[in-house]
Parts: sequence; structure tokens; C-alpha cells
Amino acid sequence: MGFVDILNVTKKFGNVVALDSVTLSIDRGEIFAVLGPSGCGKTTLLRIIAGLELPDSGKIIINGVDVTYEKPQKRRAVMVFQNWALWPHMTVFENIAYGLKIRGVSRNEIVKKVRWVLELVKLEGLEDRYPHQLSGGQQQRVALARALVVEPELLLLDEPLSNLDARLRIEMRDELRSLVKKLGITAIYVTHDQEEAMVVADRIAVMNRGRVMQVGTPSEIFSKPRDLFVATFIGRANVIRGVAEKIENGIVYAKVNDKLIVGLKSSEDLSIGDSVAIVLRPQFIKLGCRGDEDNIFIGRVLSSKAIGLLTEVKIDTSIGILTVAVTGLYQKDISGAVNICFDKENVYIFRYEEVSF
Amino acid sequence: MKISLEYKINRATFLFSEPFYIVSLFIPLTYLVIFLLIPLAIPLTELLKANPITIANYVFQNPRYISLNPIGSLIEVKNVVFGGRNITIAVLKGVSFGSIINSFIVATISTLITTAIGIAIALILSIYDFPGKNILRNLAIVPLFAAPFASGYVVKKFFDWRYGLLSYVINDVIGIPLRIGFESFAGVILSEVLSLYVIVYLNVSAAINSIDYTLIEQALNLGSSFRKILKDIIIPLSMPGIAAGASLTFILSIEDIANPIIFKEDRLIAYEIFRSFQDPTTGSRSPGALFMTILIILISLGVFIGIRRYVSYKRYAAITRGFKPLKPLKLSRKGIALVYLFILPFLLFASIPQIGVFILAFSTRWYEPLPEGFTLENFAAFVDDKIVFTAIRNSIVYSLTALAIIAFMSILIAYSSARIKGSLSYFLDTLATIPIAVPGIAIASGFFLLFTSPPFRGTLFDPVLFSPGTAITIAYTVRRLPFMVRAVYAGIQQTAVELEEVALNLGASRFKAFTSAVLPLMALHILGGTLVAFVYCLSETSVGVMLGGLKGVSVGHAAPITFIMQDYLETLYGTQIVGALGAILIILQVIATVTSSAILRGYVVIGVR
Repeated sequence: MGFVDILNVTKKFGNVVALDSVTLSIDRGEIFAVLGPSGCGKTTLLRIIAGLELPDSGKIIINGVDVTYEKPQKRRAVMVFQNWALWPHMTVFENIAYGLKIRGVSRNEIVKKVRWVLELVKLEGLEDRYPHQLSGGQQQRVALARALVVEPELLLLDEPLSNLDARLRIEMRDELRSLVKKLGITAIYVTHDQEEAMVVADRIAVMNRGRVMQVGTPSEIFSKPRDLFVATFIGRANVIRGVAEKIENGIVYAKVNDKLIVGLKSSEDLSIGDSVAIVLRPQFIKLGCRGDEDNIFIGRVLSSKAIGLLTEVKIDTSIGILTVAVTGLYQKDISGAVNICFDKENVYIFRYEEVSF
Repeated sequence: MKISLEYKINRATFLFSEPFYIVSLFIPLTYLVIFLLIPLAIPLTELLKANPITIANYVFQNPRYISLNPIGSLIEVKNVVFGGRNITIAVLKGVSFGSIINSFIVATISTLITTAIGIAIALILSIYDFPGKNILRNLAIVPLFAAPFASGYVVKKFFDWRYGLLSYVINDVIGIPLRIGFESFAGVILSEVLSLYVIVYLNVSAAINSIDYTLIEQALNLGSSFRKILKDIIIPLSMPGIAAGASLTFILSIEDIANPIIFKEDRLIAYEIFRSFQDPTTGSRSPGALFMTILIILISLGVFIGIRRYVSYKRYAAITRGFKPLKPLKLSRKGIALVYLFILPFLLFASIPQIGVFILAFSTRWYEPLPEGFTLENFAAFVDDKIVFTAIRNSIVYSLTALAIIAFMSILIAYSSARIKGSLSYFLDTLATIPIAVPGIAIASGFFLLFTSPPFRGTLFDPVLFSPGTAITIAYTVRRLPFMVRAVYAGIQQTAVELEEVALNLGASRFKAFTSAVLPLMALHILGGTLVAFVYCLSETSVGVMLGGLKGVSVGHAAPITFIMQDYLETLYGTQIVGALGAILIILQVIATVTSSAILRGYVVIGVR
């Protein structure tokens, strides 16, 4: 049993199933990310944990207590909203002090605690400002400070960084993690940004269409995707259609355009003759390979595009057009012939299914 | 998946464990059931106590109510000697088919004309740009500011064939031997059109202005002509506004009591009900009056609920991202000429009642076509004439008391409509909206029947044995509630729900979260709604006129100003005072509307949401 247990929670809005028998267990002190595309039900799940929505069925247990029908104000699960929800008519101090006042904390104690949290989030000296007088990053910190100051048992973060620009987002996600870890708070972090989830969370639940697709550490999710959705949603991927020719000791030999690709059997129920989806991550494809081994194919460079530290090279191969990520600049001429290869341990072969986000 | 009974019970328990939910739902619900639903149901129960089939037979076979043999003539043209000269007079009157059919005819014709004019003005003022557009825009909303009885009196005065200004200009000034008049049904229709087209205009304008301009740009981009865009995009997307405006015009015109009184046309349903109050103890319980009251309630509510459903079905979801407001098109020279030849004269024409009220207020006498003298004496009567003074004091007391109740109820209703999902809050929202359509005369009848019967009989609610003040105040709260609910609701809608949720999340109770995190942000909306509701309470007509005089009108009476306006109208001494009272009401309405529209960024007018 975890610190937070979500048991078989289902929620419908009209005919739309927002959550479909969701079960999760979150440990004390853990930062747990719920990751998925828009409309997958992650915010609904967070709101149900906070008590702002009621589930149609299922239970929410926090610290061993069934709080499914408990009022939000009794749950000690404090939420940081996507739009931060700062009260525009209150100063930074008043915004942060609100929760303490509600709890009947003395004036002296309030001042002390607000000072402490302002220092924690590096906002000293801004207590008399109104939210509209702050930058986006400062507003985000006020929202976080307002939640932290009441020392919640559970911190719920609903895409807290999505309203920030890209640079600030990267800066804030590291800060956020170290702050929450420092205070030892259990946190549930909802995001649609896989990179953010990977950096911030101890564990991730990937959701799609109201269902939990996989739960694991960031590296497990990345390296051992349980299905085609997770494999394609997390990280970039080349997906090639083929047919399973042979399956042996967890290794699948899939035929694509009369060529064989060898990779890991990633669907339990995969059988010979099944239509398969072969997932190849761009960073695991190597260029300029030689020899006569498995998974070596000849290709022709179609284009190359430098993106930051990487160059994205598109290569037309005998198994289809593939995107390859190369570290540094790629100098080869366009239309030049090139061999590509990849290790079978980095190839995931799933039974083919339509994936929609 | 079927939701189990256990979860339904748990959910209900969860909702009702919130004291603020219970308060915001059940206090207004109880109030509206007692003071809206029961008064509306009483005429029906009274009718059922009698023999409803016999009464229906009596009504349907009585030529006073329904007759297929029309009486009178549509237009009366005759040659007469007037002022020593031979002239032709043409008086538009209308024929009578009995009160019920007459009311339908008057309301239908008023609606058709009003809708056509309202749509035309809305289209031109919303879609086109031309010199002087803002002046026309301001002129178009002038009929929004009405002075009960005084405005209608001016219309009657202007179109009277003997002493009217129109005939004076045609016959005496220009010298054409013709005098034109509007009387009876035609007079009522004319007055309705001049005052009600603004409802259609504002509803249609709002609908047109909510059309995303990219939809029109896309059609232009695909090669569509403007005429086709009008037909295929603008009109269909404005249909909810057109339907709402037209149906409200129909309801307001069928229930209107002031114009039939002014034009002395008693062969209409509204007048039949009003007349029954001339002898309230027997009249209001007469089978004919009960039947008419029920009929007018059913017509109004039927039309209103029907149109509300239609509008909610036709409310198109915003599928485009962002919103680009309409970019006005340049009007061609021919178009500008047409606007100045037809629209401007009509708008000036429609402003005659308001202009006339001020002339009436500042003149010593206005009997002949032209007013005589200039005086401020008519305003001095507000203090000097004890009856008028008391009426003003009564109106202010009733309106302020009503306002406190309206503000309290509106906040609760708007909160529960916005925050509580479920059939009960939807029912409350509907209940708070329908007073827009409920005829004031039906409320007056219902209140009279309710408050003169046990357990209210003899209490402070009883308008005969105690005073009509309480009943009038409560009637104001019910009738003017929708204006304020709408303003407050808009305030809640514009306040992100997360601001309240985060307070709950931090441990505040719902009441505390609402009062500390939401209410301060809605203060301006409440103020805007309050201003509008206050002036509309002051100018409330039907209930004031029907219940105001139940204790008689002597010194220390309990009647509001609208009753006195009806009582003083067309008396030798009082007509100018009615004008002065009307002028003050118009000024107050202008101030409230301008202030609240600045606050709320839009007019608080009746519409269907």
C-alpha cells in the first residue's frame, strides 16, 4: 500500500470516458508524474485526488484514509494550478498567507512562515507586489510558495510550468524537483511534456484515453516501453510496418520489403504471421556500418537538418525512410549512399495496432 | 458503465454536506417557489375549483373573447369640416375579433414589423461603416429608456388626428387637406413597434457581433459574394438572436398593459385582466379574468421556454481558436443615401416618445399640437403635491428594499448556476430567468389571490387589509431578478473557477472561498446589475398599476409612482407631472445604463440565454 492509492477510478463526462478504471500507487516522498497527451484524463485524475471532482466509481486513499467523498478542504492535498490561480486583488504576501490564515495561524507565525517560503522560492522583497506586477516565473513561484507554506502532505502540480517560456521552463523544472525533494513532500506532477516528466519525476505513469498504459521509472519507460503507444509517445521513433516471420527466445524476425529486421519481442501476444510495428529510435541508428550481420541496410541521404547539438538526417533505406539522430554536424553529401545499422536490443517489435493520441 | 445507487447517494451526500451549496440552492429556490410559482399556479387552482370546462365553453362561445364576425373598420376615411375647412381624415384603427384573437393579432403584427426593422437596423449598424454611424447607434437604443404611460401618451398625442403634431404639420403647416390618426389597435401596435424594436435590434446585434470574422474571411477567400455570405453565414448564425428578440417582442407586446390603457383599447387580454382589478374582490376571481390570466401565462411561458430550448440547441460551439471581431465594410454612397433616407428618419421617429416626455415635463400645457410655455413647476410638484411626494418616497423605499433582496438572491442563484451541476440548479436557473417572460399582470393577479387568502390574509402581505407595499416590493424582486442574475452570473463566469478552487484546496470553506476569493472580483458586476435593477424597479408598471391603488390614493397612500402616473395621466392638472416623473425616470435609466454598460462592457437588456 502506497501513501496515495488510486483504486479503480472511473470518471465519465457525458459519454466521454475521462478515466477508465485507473489504479495507481504512489509512495511517500515520491515525485510521481502523470504523463499523457491532451485529453488523456490526467488533469481529471488530479482534480479527483484534490476533491474538486467526484469519481463515478473507485476510491482515493491518502495515508490510509479513504477520502473519495471527503471535502477538498479536509484533504491536505494542495494543488498548484496550470494557470497558477493567483488572486489578483491580493498581494504576494496575502496570497501566500491565505492558507495559514484559514488554519488560524497567529500573525507572527504567518509572517515568519511567509518569509521562510519566500526565501525558499527566492522571492524575498516582493511580498507587497500584486500578481500583475510579477513576471511569469515569479508568479509561478508565488503559486508554489502558497502551496508549500501550508506544509501539505501531498502536493498536486497541474502542468505548473506550461505557461512559462522554454528557457525558464528548463530552469524551473530542476529547481522545482530539488525544492520538493528538500522538503520531502509527496508530489503528483501532471504534464504532457515527456522531457519535463523524465527530469522531474521519480516514477511516471503514461496515460492515454483515460487508461494507464505503463508505470515505471523514466529509464524503464524509455527503454522498455510496454506497448506501441508508450514507445511512440516517449522519445522520437521511426515506426516501420512488417510481418513476424520467426519468433525465437524473445527475438522477433520481421520481414519488411523482403528484408529481415531483428528485434525484441515487445508484445506478449505476438505470433508468427502477425502484422507488426517495428520501433527504432533515431539515436540508436548508426551510420557507415559494414559487414554482413543482421540489421544492416543500405540507404541514400535525403536531407540533413542541424537541431542544436544534434543533426537530424533523413535516409531512404530498403526498409523505408528513417530519421537518424547524429551527434554534432553531419557533413555527408545529399544523395550520397550510406549504410545504416542498429542493435537488436534497441529494436522494439510490437503487434501492430492503430495508435491514436 | 452504469453508476450505482451507492455512488449516487455518496455524491448527493457530498454535495449536501456543503452548507453554502444548500444555502445558495435552497434559499432562492424556496423564495421563487413561494413568490413566483405559487402565484402563477393559483389562478389555475382557482379555475379548477370552479368548473373549468364550463368556463372554457363560456369564454370560447362569448363573442367578447372570440368572435369570427369582426367589428369596426381597419381604416376610417371620411371628409369632414375641420377648423372651417373641408378636409379628409384617415384614421387607422383595426377590427375586433374578440379579446383573445385581438391580442394575438396585435402581438403578431407588432412582432413582424418590429423584427423586420430590428434586423435591418442591426445588420446595417453592425456590418457597415459610414459617416455618422455612432450617432445612429446611440439613437437606436433611445427606446430602451421608457417612461411608463408618458412615452405612450406622447405617441398618442403625436398621431392624434385632431390635435396631433403630425396632422398639424401636414394640414396646417404644409396645407394638404388631410389629417392622419392612429387609434385603437393600430395605435397600440404603433406604440409597441416604436418601443420594442430595440429588443430585436440589441439581440440581433449581439448575435452578429459574436460571429468570428475569420468565418466571413474564409467565405470571401473561397469566392463568395457578400449577399451570399449574408444569406449563408451571417443570418443563420444570427438566428438565435433573431428568434430571441422576436419571441420576447411577442411576449412583451401581448402582456403590455400601458399602451392599451393609453389608447383606451379594452378589447385585449391584458386589459381584460386589468379591468377585473377595478373591482378586485370580485373581479379578480371572475371566471373570465382567471381564464385570461392562465392563458397569458401559458402563452408567455410556452413561447419563452420554447425559444430558450431553441437558442440553446442553436448555440454554435466555438470551434475556431481565438476570436476575430467583425471588420465593418465600407457602405457605398447609395447605401449611405438609403440609411439617411430611411433608417435615420425611423430612428428619429422612434425617439419621439422620449423627446416628447421632456417637452411634456417642461411645458405648462400641451393640449394643442404644439406645447405651450416653459416651466419647472411640474418638478416642484414632486415636493408640493403630497400624493406625488408619497408615491416617490414609496417607490424609492420599495425599490431599495427589493434591491437588497435581489442582490442577495442573485448572488446565490448565479453561484449555484455556475458551480453546482445537476437538475436542481438548472431548474433554479430557469426559474430565475422566466420572470423575463412572466406577464406583470399575471404576477399581480397571482399575488392578489395569494396574499388575500390564508395564511397571508390580514398579514403584512395582504394588499387590501394591510398595504400593497409588501406585495409590490416582492413583485419587484421577482420581476427584476433576471437583470441582476445575468450581471452577477457574467461576473462569476469571468472569474476563473481555479481562484475559488485553490482557496478550497488551502482549507477555506466554500463560503469563505467565495467571499474572499471570488466576490471581491465580482464587485463591479454586482454594482452594474444593482444600478440597472434599481431603475427598472422604479419604472415597473403592471404590478404597481394593478395593486398600487388597492388601499385608495389619499395622503399617506401606498402606491408607487407608476400608479400615480397612470392615475394623473390625461387629467387637467396631472399630465405635465406625469411628463416630469417620466423625464426623471428616463434620466435615471440613462445614467444606470451608461454606467453599467461601461462596467459590464455591454447592455443589461432582456434576452434569452
